[in-house]
Amino acid sequence: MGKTALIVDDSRTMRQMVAFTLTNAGFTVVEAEDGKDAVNKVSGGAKMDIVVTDLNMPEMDGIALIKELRKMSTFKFTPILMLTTESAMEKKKEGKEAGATGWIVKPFNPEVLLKTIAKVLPA
Amino acid sequence: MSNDFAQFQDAFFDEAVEHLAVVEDGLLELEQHPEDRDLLNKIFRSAHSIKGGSGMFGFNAVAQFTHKMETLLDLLRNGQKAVSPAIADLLLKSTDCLKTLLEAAKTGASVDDATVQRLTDELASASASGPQQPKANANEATSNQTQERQGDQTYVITWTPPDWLFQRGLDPLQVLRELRSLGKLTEVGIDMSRLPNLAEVDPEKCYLSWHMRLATEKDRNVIEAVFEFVREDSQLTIENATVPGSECQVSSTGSQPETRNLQPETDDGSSKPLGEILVESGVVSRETLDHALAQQKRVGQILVEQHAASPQQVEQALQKQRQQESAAQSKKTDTASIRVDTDKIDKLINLVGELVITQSMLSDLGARFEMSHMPVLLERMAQLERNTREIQERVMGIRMLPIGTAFSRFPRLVRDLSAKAGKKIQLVLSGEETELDKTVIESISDPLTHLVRNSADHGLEPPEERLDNNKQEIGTIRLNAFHEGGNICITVEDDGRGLNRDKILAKAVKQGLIGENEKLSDEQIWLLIFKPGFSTAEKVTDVSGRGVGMDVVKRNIEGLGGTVSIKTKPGHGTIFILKLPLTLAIIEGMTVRVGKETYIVPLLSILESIQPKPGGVKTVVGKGELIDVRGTYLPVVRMYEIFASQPEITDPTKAILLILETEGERVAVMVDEILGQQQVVIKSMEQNFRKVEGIAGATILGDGTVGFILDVRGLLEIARQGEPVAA
Repeated sequence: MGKTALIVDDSRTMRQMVAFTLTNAGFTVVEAEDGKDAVNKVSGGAKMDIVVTDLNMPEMDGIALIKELRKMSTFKFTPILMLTTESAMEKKKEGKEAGATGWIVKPFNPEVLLKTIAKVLPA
Repeated sequence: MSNDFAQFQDAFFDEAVEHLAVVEDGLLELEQHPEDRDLLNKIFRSAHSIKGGSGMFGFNAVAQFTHKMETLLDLLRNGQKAVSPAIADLLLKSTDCLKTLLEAAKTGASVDDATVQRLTDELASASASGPQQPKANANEATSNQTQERQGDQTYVITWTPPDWLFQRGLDPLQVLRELRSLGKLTEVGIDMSRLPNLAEVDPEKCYLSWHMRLATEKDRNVIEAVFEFVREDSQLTIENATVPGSECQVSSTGSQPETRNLQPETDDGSSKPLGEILVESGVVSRETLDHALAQQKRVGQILVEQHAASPQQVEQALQKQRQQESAAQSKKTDTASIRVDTDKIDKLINLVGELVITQSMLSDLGARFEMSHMPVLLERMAQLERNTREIQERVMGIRMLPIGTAFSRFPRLVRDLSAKAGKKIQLVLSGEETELDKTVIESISDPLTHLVRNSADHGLEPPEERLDNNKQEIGTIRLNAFHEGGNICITVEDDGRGLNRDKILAKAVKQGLIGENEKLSDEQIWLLIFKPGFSTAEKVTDVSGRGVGMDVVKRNIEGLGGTVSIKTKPGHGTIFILKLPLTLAIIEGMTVRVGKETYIVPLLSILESIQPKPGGVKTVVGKGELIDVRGTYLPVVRMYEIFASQPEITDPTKAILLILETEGERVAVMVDEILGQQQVVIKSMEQNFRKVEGIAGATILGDGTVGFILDVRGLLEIARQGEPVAA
């Protein structure tokens, strides 16, 4: 069964890279360019198997998005991974408190990305 | 390490350029609104995206430098530091540096490490009072290295996760699965002691604990990594319970594993730099090494110290190196991609669909055609024409970009110029949305830059002089773009002192560009400033005044099939007007006939057409034929003589004379007949045949024959020399 993934990043290239990796791994991918866009795309009741989101974004940032998603019944228990940079350790904590499942530290390669996702993705 | 992401590099560079523009524009705007938090956030985000992306592709120099910028920007956006002019300036300089770093990452060109280092230091000291960056990462990474161990170890793991485990989307089952993948999970027990009465159970909470026995050959760190996302919030113990017989290992695993200093070798097998090896083998400390490296000198510096070269010579050589690099880079950027709005493509596909329908209707009609169907045929033909024209317009539209992309560099340029020249200058942009061909936009940037520099340096007066002349202290440079017929006009206007007629004349005479007693119209005098080597600036400044440039401007614009004209009013300012074709591929032309040949004359260059009276054309010794047009004598060019064709008419009074103008000079060209006006697609002569004097290109006419497009400039040259070209 194909899994679905929501990818949220304001950087076009970064979004494409994550989407490319996940599509190749058999995911059906939905892309959003910021938190607001992401909320709009799933507020209709769409369920996702995993969410991968950047933190620094215009309109609605990653932390706000995670909080928003956790409020929705469809995303209450969905694994949410945040993309952070090494220097943003304090962001990790903030993200965890908002309800993030885990994190992927940039820069990463496709292997690390898929491995981390496998780690939190319900079988 | 193979990197699947490599294919996204180009996309990254494209995006980075966009982000750089956001940063630069943002910083410029910030100078006006230093308190604008949203703006700071926007700048920060763009810098952050560049950092993230460059890290992904291993452009560490870019990532590290951007990180330094980001640190400072973060302090600014959090209000921990205020935006001062010095900081804004530093950030702008850093943006430039980042630009070159990115360029270097893209092309492999070398960078001026000294500048990078200096800016890195400045950025660091500007953010000095900010929070210290945790430097622990490097250590963390090394201690995470897995150690080879012989045989399986047995670990007893007890794990009590936080009760909100589920609310973060974590599944304990996943953890168990992952542990199992590491080795043999021989025992898994659940501790339900914390489970309350059923009535009190919150199903969204986790009350369970686990204890497990895991036999694995993997290291303790690997096991810990399984719990990565919950470790800090869980109670977790991992104990080694390896079977007796290897006691020494039991004792050693209780503490953190030590990283042993192995033989220095890198992942890919290539050798490490000497310094690294020395540090690793403990001969010198990292600090000592860094200190030693910092003392390393660059070749230029060493040569200067040995008096083998003067600092100026080294500087010149460096400049040359930079020029070569930038030349190499500009060559590469020529094959750039274009991003097209999907909307434009959808419309085009729609139109092609319509074209197919029209075609099938026509072939249907053709299959059973009778004369009575004539009106239907004509109607279908009209439809076909409409389709074709629309498709042509849309396809051209794909190459069209708003000129704003070429304008966007000027706010920064003007800011720097005003600082350098000590003048107060404001820049007003308008018509940024005017669209024109991508190639034209790219080629127009340099000439425009030159004109703006010229206006800032020569056109505008220093503040004191402006105040003395009852002008506003702040000078204005206005850039405007608008459509005019099939052309686009770009004007560069300043409200400075205007061109000085006498000064230009004196200079031109001195440089031998014109004779002392030559009489010139104002228009012709202004055009003198476009002559190579012409400069009236008393001193050569950093900005302009070397007399290189204005001639290049004119040449570039004319190379694009455009014209430059000047309007000026002493004391009130100067306007440079650039007129350019919308596209380089299609021109609006007048078709004319000479004998059996058809030629196309660019409409832009036609002033008028006349039929001379008897005696209107006179032959002057040494100057060939001349015609008197309202008091001005113009050279006459007989087309059939130049191209050696058979004319129908050889008597000028029965023929038509087209008065053509280019660069302020005029010529009368004699043809048999004017056929009409039409748009023609230019096909290159050079590419398909060879260059022919007097001909700019060729096109295929409605009846399938080839028509030549006249090169007015070339015709003028021929008129001057009076020699026919061999056809």
